[in-house]
This record gives sequence, C-alpha cells and structure tokens, in this order.
Amino acid sequence: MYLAELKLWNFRKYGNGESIYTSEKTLRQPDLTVPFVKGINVLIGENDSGKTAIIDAIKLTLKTHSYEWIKPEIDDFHEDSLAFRIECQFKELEPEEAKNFIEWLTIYDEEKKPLGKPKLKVILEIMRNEKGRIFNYDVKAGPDNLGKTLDAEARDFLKTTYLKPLRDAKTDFESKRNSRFSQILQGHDAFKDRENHYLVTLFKEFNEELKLYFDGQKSELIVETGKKKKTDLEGKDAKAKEVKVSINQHLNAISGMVSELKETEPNIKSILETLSLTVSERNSGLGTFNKLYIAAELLHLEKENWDGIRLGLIEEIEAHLHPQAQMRVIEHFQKQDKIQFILTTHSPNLASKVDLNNLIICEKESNYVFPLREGLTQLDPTDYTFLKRFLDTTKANLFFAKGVIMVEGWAEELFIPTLAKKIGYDLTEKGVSVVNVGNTSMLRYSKIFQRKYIKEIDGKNVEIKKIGDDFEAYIEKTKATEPFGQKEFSFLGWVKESYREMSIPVSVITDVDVKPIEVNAESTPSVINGKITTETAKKEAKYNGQTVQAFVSPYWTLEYCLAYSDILSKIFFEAVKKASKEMNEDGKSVAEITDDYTTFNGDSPAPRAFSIYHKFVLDRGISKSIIAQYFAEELKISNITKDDILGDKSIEYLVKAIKYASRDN
Amino acid sequence: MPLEIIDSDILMAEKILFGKAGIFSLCEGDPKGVIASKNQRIEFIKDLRTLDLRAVPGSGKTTALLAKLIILESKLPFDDGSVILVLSHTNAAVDEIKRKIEHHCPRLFHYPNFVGTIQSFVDQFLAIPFYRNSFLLGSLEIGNERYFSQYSNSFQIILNKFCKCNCISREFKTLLIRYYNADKPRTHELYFGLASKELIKENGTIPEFKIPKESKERLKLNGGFSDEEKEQFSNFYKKFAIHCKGDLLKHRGLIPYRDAYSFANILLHNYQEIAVFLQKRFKIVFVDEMQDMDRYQVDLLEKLFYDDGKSKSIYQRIGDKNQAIHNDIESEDCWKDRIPTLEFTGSHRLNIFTAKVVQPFGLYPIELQGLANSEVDFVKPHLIVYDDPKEVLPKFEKLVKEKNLDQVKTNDKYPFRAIGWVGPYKEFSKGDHKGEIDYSKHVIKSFFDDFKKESEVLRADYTCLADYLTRFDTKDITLASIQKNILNAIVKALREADILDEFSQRPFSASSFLKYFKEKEGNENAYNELKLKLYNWSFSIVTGVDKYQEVADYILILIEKHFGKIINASVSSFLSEESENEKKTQKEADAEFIYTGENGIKVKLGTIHSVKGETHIATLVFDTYFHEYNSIQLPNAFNGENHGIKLKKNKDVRKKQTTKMLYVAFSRPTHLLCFAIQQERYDNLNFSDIWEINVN
Repeated sequence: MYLAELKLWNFRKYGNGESIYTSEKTLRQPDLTVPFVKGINVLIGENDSGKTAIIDAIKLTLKTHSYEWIKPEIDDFHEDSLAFRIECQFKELEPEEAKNFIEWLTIYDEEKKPLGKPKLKVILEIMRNEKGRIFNYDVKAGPDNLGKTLDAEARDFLKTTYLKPLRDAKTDFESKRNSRFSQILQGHDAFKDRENHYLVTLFKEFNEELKLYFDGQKSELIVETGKKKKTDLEGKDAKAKEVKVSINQHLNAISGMVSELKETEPNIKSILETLSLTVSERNSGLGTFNKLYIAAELLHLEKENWDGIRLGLIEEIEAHLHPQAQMRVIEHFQKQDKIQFILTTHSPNLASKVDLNNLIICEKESNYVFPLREGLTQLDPTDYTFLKRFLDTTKANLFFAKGVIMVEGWAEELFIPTLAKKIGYDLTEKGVSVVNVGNTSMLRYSKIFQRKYIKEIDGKNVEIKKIGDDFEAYIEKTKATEPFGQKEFSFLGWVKESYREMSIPVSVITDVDVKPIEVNAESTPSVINGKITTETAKKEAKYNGQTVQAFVSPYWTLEYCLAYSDILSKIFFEAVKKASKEMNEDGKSVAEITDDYTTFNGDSPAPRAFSIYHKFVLDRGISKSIIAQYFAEELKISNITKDDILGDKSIEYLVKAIKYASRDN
Repeated sequence: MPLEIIDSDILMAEKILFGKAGIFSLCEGDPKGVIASKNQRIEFIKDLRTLDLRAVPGSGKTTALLAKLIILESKLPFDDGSVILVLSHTNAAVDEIKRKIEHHCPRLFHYPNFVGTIQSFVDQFLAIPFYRNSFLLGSLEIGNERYFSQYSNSFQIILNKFCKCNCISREFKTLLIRYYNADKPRTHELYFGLASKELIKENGTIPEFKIPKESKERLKLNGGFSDEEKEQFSNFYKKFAIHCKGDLLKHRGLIPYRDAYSFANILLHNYQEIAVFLQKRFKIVFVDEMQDMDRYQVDLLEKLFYDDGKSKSIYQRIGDKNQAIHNDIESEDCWKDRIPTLEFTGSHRLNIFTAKVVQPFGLYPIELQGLANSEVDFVKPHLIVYDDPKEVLPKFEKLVKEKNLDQVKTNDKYPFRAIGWVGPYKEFSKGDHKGEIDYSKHVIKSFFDDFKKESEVLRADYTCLADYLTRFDTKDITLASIQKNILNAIVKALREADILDEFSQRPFSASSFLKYFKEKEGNENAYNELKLKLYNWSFSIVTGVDKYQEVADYILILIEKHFGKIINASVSSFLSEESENEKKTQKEADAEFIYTGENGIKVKLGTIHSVKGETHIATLVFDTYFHEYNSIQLPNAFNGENHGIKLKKNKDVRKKQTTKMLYVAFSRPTHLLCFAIQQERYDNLNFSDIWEINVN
C-alpha cells in the first residue's frame, strides 16, 4: 500500500474560510488535494509554498516512528476557522496489509464496483473553540466521511519515518536511553528474540566478570572440566577491589547496605541503548553524519516482516549535503522499490535529477500544488523522455520562479534582464527566471506549466478545458447532449476540486522568422506582412494556453528588431562592433567592423536593420551572444529612458513579455 | 519458526490458571480413566489443525480452551503478523473467558485480536464495513428492539405513499393491510437476500406471500382472484417489505441482528477478498459453544474460515451437540461432523452413576465417563414419584439433608437447584376453555407457586420516561447504566419531536447528541452543564432520589428553547405516560426464586436454559409439560436405552428437543440427581436399576 492522496481542509494556509460542517459539498471540495505516486515524490517550491504544511499534515495524521511529540497547534487552524480536517488515502493494500484494517477498508470505487485491491481512508478532524482550546480527537478511518476510530495499534501500522530538516546524527545516534538508533535496531528481525539473544548472554558473562573484577578476582576456564574457577587478580589489576571496599565501608556506615557495580542490565533494550553508530573515517563532518542518519533510517524502512506502510518523509533533503552527495542520495532513493518517499527540497540540482513524474510543484501564489506527472500536464509521453534527458540545473530553476521568461537563445537570456531593469522591473527581485531552452524544445518546456484534466464520463474520457464562463457553458452544453443524471453533482464536485491552473506566468519570446523584402526579393511587402500576421497567429496558437503566453517578434528576429528600433539601433550597432573586435582579437576569422553608425544616417528603419543584421551580424558571422553581452552593457550605461523604450514599437513585444512574467498586466 | 505447543507451554498455562501443575499434565497415581481424560485434553491443546472438539458435560473443555489461549497468546504476534479470533454465542460466555484470563493475557482481548460473540464479530468485521462502504454513512444500529418497534410505522408511511400516488387500488390496500396485520410477526422477520430486492426468511428460504384466507373466502363470490392478481399481490407485498426495510436502513440506519448476516453474505458475495483478509488476520479461530450457533451462523463461519478446506486459518469448533438447546429447530444438525473430530469423554463433574443415566440422552452418541471422585459416598440418582407437585421440593430438601450434601464444600451460594423446561402455566389452546389457564399440566410453577418468568432483559428503548429512569441495570456498580438510560430518554424525546442532527440529517443517537453539544460553536458551557446535570441526576437516582420532574423539565426546555420545536402529542405522552411496568414487577424480575425447606436448606429454582454450563451439588429436575410430558416423549431413555440413533431426521423434532433438554438438565450435579415424576406416568415407564426410587 502507498499513500496515494492527501486532502486538507482549513489546514494552515489551505482554507477558504468556510467551516467544515456546512455541507456534504464542502467535504467534496478540499482546500488542497495532493496526489502522490509510489516510490519517490519530491515537493519543490520556494519558502512558504506549503511544503512543510503537507509534511506536517501527514505527520499529524499518521505519526512517526521516532517518539516525538506531535500535536495540533492553534496555528494549524486556517485563519479563524474552528475546525480543520486531513484525509490520507492509501491505495492498493495487499492482503497482508488489508488484514489489519478489515474494519476500516474501502472496498468499492466511486461507481460501487469492487476494487481489486482495497483502499484505506484515514481521517483526522480537529476542532477548537473560540477561546483557542483544542478539543480531544480521534484518528478515524473508513469509506464514509465520519469514519470509525482507528485502534492505537492499528495506527502503528501507519507510522511514517520522518527525517527532520536539520538532522544531527551525531546526537541522535549517540548511546542514550531511547536513542533513535536503539529504536531502529529493536525493530529489526535480528533482535526479535529478546530473551535468549546472543548479546544478552555475552552481557551476562561480562557482568559476572565485572563483578569479580571489583572483588579482585577473575574467572579462568579449566580446559579439562570445561568449568570455570575463580582466581585472585594481582598487581594493579587488583586495585579495583579497594574501590568497592571503600565505598562499602562508607555505605555500610551510613545505611547498612552493600553496593554492587554493574554494566548495563542484560536485556536487549538496554544493550542496544549503549550502542552508538558512527563511521570509520576520522573527523567526519555534519554531511557524513547526515548520510549515516539517512542510511540508518533506510534500514528501518526496509525491515522485513512488516505489514504496515513504508513511508519516509524527509524535509530539506539537501541539508548538509553538497550537490554531488544530493545526487547520490536521490539516485539511491529511486532504487528503493518497496519504500515510498515524500521529500521537500529547495535544490534545483535535485529537481533536475528527479524524473518529472516524481515532481510536485508547490506554488505559493495559487496556494496549490501541481504534480508534474504524466497525464496531469499537457506534455506528451515523448516530451517526458525528452525532458528527462535535457532538464538540467539551469532549467530546473524554473520550478522555483514566480514568473518565467522562456527564450530561444543566449542573446535574449543575456540582455533581457537589463532591458527589464531599464523599464523598472528587477527580474531577480521579482523572482522571474529567464530561461534559455533553445528553439526546438520551447514548446515542451512551456507545456510543463499547462495542466491537463481528464475525467471519465459515461465511459468516455473527456478533457476539461477551461474554468470560468467557458467552463459553465461547457457543462451546460455537455448536460444537454449527454445527461449525466446523478453523476452531475459528483462531476461538478470533481471539477471544482481538481481543476486548477498554475498561476506562474510564462512568457515565451520567439522570433516570427519571416524574412524581410531584402532577402525575399521576389516577394511583395503586402505578402510579407500577411505572412507575418499568419506566422504570429500560428505561434501564438502553438504556445498560448492557461498561463503560458507567446510574445512574437514583429519582424524577422530579435536582433533584426533591435536594429530596426530607432532608439536602440545605435547602441546595438556599437555592441556589434565591439563583438567583432573581441572576436578578431581572439583570433577568430572575423573582420573587425570599422564602419561608423553615421553610415546609416538617413536610412529608414528597414534598410538599416537589414544592413546591420544581415550584412554585419550574419554575413560576418559575429556571435549573437557576445553581441548581447556588449549590448546589455551599452544599454545599462546609455541614457535611453524608460519612456523611450515603452514608446518603441519594434521591441514592444519584449516589454509585454517582461510585464507579463512580472505579473504586471 | 513453526507454531507449536509443547509440554512446557502446558505447564506454564497450568501454573497461571491453577497455580500448580497436574491438572492437565499427568500425575503419579492417576487412575486409568483420569489418565485417558488428561491425554485427550493435552492432545487437544497441542493440536493446531482445523478440527472439531466434542466434549461431554463437565469435561473441562472451557478450561482446556483457556489454557490453549494463554499459551497461544504468549506466542503472539505470530511470524506472519496474524492473530487469534475467539467466538462464542452469548455475551455471558465471552465475559466468562475475559474474566478468567484477561489479566493473564491482555493482548488477546485487544486489536488486532478479537474475542467476542459471533454477532459482534459479524457486525464489526462484515456488516458495518459493508454498510459504510455501500452507503458512505457513519452509524448503523444493529438490534432488534428499535427495529421491530419502528417497522410498523415505516410500513404505514410507505403504504400511504403508495396509495397517494395511485399505484394500487383501495381493494389492494385493504388486502395488504390485512395481510400485514395477520402476518405481522413473520413479516417483521424478513431479511435481505443476496440479490437486491430479494427477501429471505431466517432459514434462508425465499418467502411466499399468499392472499390471506379470510379474503379468499369473502371474495370468492366475485369469482376470487385470478392468478395474475395473486402474483400482483405477492409482488406488491414484497415491494412494501423491501421498502420498509430500505426506509429503516436509509433514514434511520437500523437493521435487525439477523440482517447483519445478510450484509455479511452480500459483502462476501461481492467481495470474496474479505475472506482472504480475515484468514490472513486470524491464523487461529476458536468457536466455543458451537452447538448453539444457528444454521446461518454456522454457514457463514464455514464460508469464512473453512472455505472448502482452502482456508489459511486453523478453524477449531468446540462444543457438545447433545447440549444444543439454544438454537432453533431449523438449525438442527447444521453442525456437520468433520474429520478430525477430537473428543473429551471424561466428565469430572458427574459420578459414575449419573453418567450412566445421562448417556442414553445423548442425541449424538458419545462415550461418557463419570470421573467425579465425590468425598461422600456416591449417591445414586433418585426418582421422586409424587401425586401432589407441592410435596416434591420438601422431599428433595430432605434428601439433600439425609445425604449430608449440605456439608459438601462449595463456593456457590446456591448449590442446590430445582429446574424444569417450562416455567409458567400454559393456556388451553383449544376446546371449551380456550384461553384459560390449564393448571393440570405441570410446569415449574406447579411445584413452587411464587415462580415467575425469568428476569426480563434490560432494554435500551422504552415508551415512557419513567421506565428509562427506573429500569436501569441495578447490578452495575458504576453510574454508566443509569446515565446511559437518561441519555437514551433525552434522545428518544428528541426523536419523538422530529428533531434531527444537523450534520447527519438523522435523528440523534446518544453519542451524536453528546458530540453535537460538545462541538457546536458557543456550546461549551452548555456541554459542561449537561455533563454536570447527567452526573447529578444519575447519582441522585441510584441513591434513591426521584429526579423524574427535573429530567422532564430539561427535555421540555431543550425541545422548545434550544431546538425551537413545539411539544407535540408524542412527546407529551412520552413524558407523562405511566410506566408500563410498575416498580413491583421490576423488583420481582430481579428477585431469585428460592425455596427454603424445613432443614433450612435453600433450593434455587430456574429453567433448564438458565443453568446451562453450571455445576450443582444436587439438581432436581421436574417432569414438565411442553406439548407432552418430557418423560412420555422419551420412554426408553430412562431405561438406559440409547434412543438417539433411532430418532428420524425430520420427524421427532419434539423428541429431539426433549432429549437435549434432559441431557443438559441431568448433567448438572456432582452428587445427587433427582427426577420428579408423577405417579401415573411413573407407573407406565420402565426405569433402569441405576435409579433409586423414592415412592410415597
């Protein structure tokens, strides 16, 4: 069995102000639904995006193996609400697992057809009064909304293994009472037979020997008889006797009692508590101990003869681990087929290593989570294979952004932040990432941000397109043609519960790629203009959808547009010149441009743009990214004003893209 | 490591149960019969196959089972995480097991193990899960009383609805009502079948609904009913019954006990995996008092834990078929013999003579060895032959004194008992005196005038407040019973006032009412007040202070002020009505019926049913009348002839019943068994020479 779904009502930041008890309908529409997959689940998102709330909700409902004190706090209640509710849905219980939950199982699906493998819904509902007193509660389970109280022992089968963000293996795995390490060991099969354990025998013998030592004696094995005999210790070995004699003299004088010196009580629990786990390398740092910690907890999750869940919750898996180690840890996790992991991370490194199918984005803005797995996004199966190969750390950055500007070349990536600053948008400050994904994979990357909702209605898979007015109309239309009858309500409930769009604005900046008249000599301006219109529409249709919006250059390419611009062409040409100089000096076979911008004086924008872009940039093979670098610098120091830029038609699309990604519409 | 029970385990269990060894394990100097008996018990304790155990009265089967449970509990949890299931028939039997070993093996009585009645097991593991899964609603109330009292209401409502929508003609309506009234008790006892819209009778057969006789005659003039009409009637009636049950289920969450088995069967039919889960959970299943199970219970257990021999569970059925006096006639022979069947043939209760008397009454022959080693001389069974029934008890008392049985050490308050099958007088069922009491047929009351029916079972549902406040369990040493009654009374009143729980849109239950108070916003003070009130009332009532008016006032305020409803007729009648059972009956119901003789020896009277499983020093059995006198039903058994084999399977039902009844009755005493028979019947019967005859 595995945790397939978490639902929250009025828990921390997830809530809509409604009380839980208003209606059945409210129960159909949780404030947050998080689907999980078997194996590894990585929750990524910025701070306060709800990652910890999700982990805590699971911990609160299922509890953890380490005996920490987890109880509801007043801050767990969303705003002023008086009740919150958490549901954990487990799926695919094997008979060995189901046997422990017969009284609470869900055995039918929504259509009342028997499930091949049953489910288990665990419910935690906590109430408080206005004064802030939190009422006692029971964890319940059952197919219905109320559930039946889950036995404490039954809950033991649902305990999770939790690794906190700042793991300190050094103290947690030191020998002490109830140490985490002794708990893990006690859970292992090796220590099951507690009474006749080999270790117990060893300790008993040692204790006897110890007692003798303090009496100044030792035992010796007589080989012939196999029996032991006591002999006196000599020299400094016999000194210990004095200790005992002295203590006993005093003790006897005070109380009339006699003392005894002992090692640990020879029972398994105490013995295991004396053990501490460490690594053989000297001077091990936090990172090493951290890895050790994870390894020991894995031992616990793996233990045999365990019919409960194997669920590891790990917060900030990257803590204390350098990027290389993070990769190794995550790769190792992905190999564990029996264990389900739910991890949180801030690390783009890690995100880039994890299959999209295992990623769940937590969005602060929309207060919602979006698993990126197949079937839930507009990505095709082939897209997943592609992205698996090409998603790197830089691109993984887009999961943490508040807005994304997707570009198809280095040039854009290099100068767009400067352009944005010029018009008053500090992209870094606004959390907008400019990501260069290359022309060919642009569509794929943009689809990551588009959700797909498919619902089976009367045996047919229907894709739900859009929420809002269109959506209501869609429902009306569907009702007229294929009446759902009773299913209607549950369908509406489902849609409201499930249909969410990501809120992250994604600007796709792309070239229209229609060559001007100078290149297409046989064409006419009107044909070219027509072509530009159709190409623009085509590109927009290709990318636009949900929060993704395409911004298409008005002419040929970005560079062409810059050269076309009355305000920017001068500094752009300066940048081209500097680039040619640098390349020339670098020994590239590029002739340095010596022409002066005044050459273009009197040219109208089109021929000027053609000359600069075609004759100089393309014909001389000057690197666009080097140009962009110089252009960004030139732009920064130039006295071109915000108003100048805003009034320029040829780069209006860039301005719009920046504004859109910065959520300024 | 494979599960097994070894000698040291048995020694451990003996120490826990008796504080010493030698009860199960062999001792030096054990007589031959005892050795054989001990071996049988050890064999059973060690045996971990699916098996049946037949045990004669007093053979210590329960003790052997307890020992086995203690041993198995010490090995929990089993390697595969499975645990133990122990089922019995009555709460009393389950409580007995609990009382004896709970503090030695507490784990056995907690999740994931289960020890309980078959009903509670079916409710918890099958019926309620099925209900929750099918209806996605929380609470299901399984019980007969509220169900049967609500059934008529439901029938009326639904019938009226049907009539309003003109689905049926007036003529049909009359017919349906008439049929319903004529057949009320039986229609109440219709249960859900496997298929939806199917009803079954208790024995699992599908009932036929025929046009009532009376109507047939009256309507003959008009040419009677056509076949089509007959079928129509049957269909309609079925529809109503289904609707009624559906109504009670959906709107009240109410089903009778028997329907829990229907739900269990439907669940099992739709979802066979549930049997697999149960088998995986419960590696070892013990059913004690197997003989008391009804056919539908036996069948269900068979499906769950025998599973045509494919079961993963070890399924051990324990009991004594010869003592099956609790189940109905339909269930005769439903416990089918299976190999291996182990036997406990040595009775440590009965002496050699009593055993000889008892054995011929075994309907299913089994060897019966009397092993009791009485301190006084063996007392032979006595026949008390009488003319006047009133002379019997004095004679019995005298006999007890004569044999010095009052000197026998015992912990029992009443070691001397007088029992019979039938307690109160019967009425003439036909003839001139139909309906009058027939004093000529001897019943327990004939021998002891003061004898009344057994104490009534306490109910959860009464018709008036006064009953709730007086009829609580006076044996309960806590306030739980009275507090439960007060809460039930409040809830009942709210129900009468048609007040529903906002959340579930159903009438309140005691727990949902408390929950409502606890969790409703701004109600915290009210909740605390309510708790205080409940405590004060409960405390006052058990100490004898009348709180009737206060509770009634509270209910009125609750309905009017809190819920803003009016006090309707049913509420006021609930609050004002006189108790249907006056307090006098209450006292009598609780009283024990004791005869005290000349020598001051007390003899407690009771029915045979009430003493099942008990051990007495001396037992007097009355020859009572039930369709016929017991002795006449079984002429040859008293002569030592084992007649069980001769009885025919489907005929001789009464004879079979009587056989089992006397088997139970005769197998109670350790020292003295007496059978009281009237002179004229004595004259016509032959008694074997084991009986010592005590004639006038």
